Amino acid sequence: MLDGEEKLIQDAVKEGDSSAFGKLYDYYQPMIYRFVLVKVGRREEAEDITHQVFFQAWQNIRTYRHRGYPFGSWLYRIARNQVIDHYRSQKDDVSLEAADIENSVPQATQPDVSLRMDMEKVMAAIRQLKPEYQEVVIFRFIEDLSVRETADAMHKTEGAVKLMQHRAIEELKKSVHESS
Amino acid sequence: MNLLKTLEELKNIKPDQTFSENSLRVILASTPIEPLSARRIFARSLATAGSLVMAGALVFIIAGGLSETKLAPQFSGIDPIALRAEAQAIDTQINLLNINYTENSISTQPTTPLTKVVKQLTTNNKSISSTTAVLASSTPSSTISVDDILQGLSQ
Repeated sequence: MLDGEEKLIQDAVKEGDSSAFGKLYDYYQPMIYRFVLVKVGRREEAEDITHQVFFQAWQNIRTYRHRGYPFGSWLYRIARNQVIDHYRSQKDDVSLEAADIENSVPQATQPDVSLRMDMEKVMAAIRQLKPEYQEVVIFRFIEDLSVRETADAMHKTEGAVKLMQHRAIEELKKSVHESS
Repeated sequence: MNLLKTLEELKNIKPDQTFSENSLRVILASTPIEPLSARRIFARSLATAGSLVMAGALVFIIAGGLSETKLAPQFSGIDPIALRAEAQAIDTQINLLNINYTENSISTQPTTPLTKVVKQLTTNNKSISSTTAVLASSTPSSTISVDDILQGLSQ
């Protein structure tokens, strides 16, 4: 969670303070981008969706009500809906298989070709998981959120998160092993 | 492949800096939507109701609704009773007495459509001439009414 997040949210919500929203954007945008990229697998689409997520968040910032969950939880929910809409609209054009092996990991991020291929392989394997399992893996292993934070973001209990995490990793291992 | 190590590497993925800056600029250029408060709902309802009332009034005026009320404009130079009487006096029943299709159809002499028209025009000209004669007999300064012309034509 970002330091002074509550104050920033308050400024952004009550006064429409764009600089406060800018700080929230700087902190959460890379996380939302990774979340979306792992789910869609294409850099350009991930950028478009990420933009839409923050655009919607800014448009509806005045309606945001703090309900004890972190601000990121609200953003993840918008992102999740955007990804669903994306797949719904792309249903006839692009299959998930076709979207798998795309240049999702830029060379600048990882110059090592072998490691970059592994990363793309793992991302493709994550996309084979159920949406809930995908999110557990992303929150726990990519974003390093605690079990509690993951539970908040997913609106689940901590016990449910632990169980899902266990099953997700098992399935992921199996999927990666099969693909290699 | 070490799965956990590869997952750790995914943390390093970052969006393009130029994209991030442009995206934020575009987002902040827009204005957040104002939440619907009771005051805004009332103002919107009032505006909608006002528009509907204005549109209704306009339709009422266009349809001549004012003519039956005291709000109708009064023109001093026009006598509405005389106008109504004159309008009722107009004989709109025009009888085309000079056109006799039956006569033409039983004619032994074969006629083309063109000769029919010529013949009809000749007949009409005769009646028009007689009408003109009737009209000429009246005083030149008097006003010719529509009734007079129609009566002349029927004769």
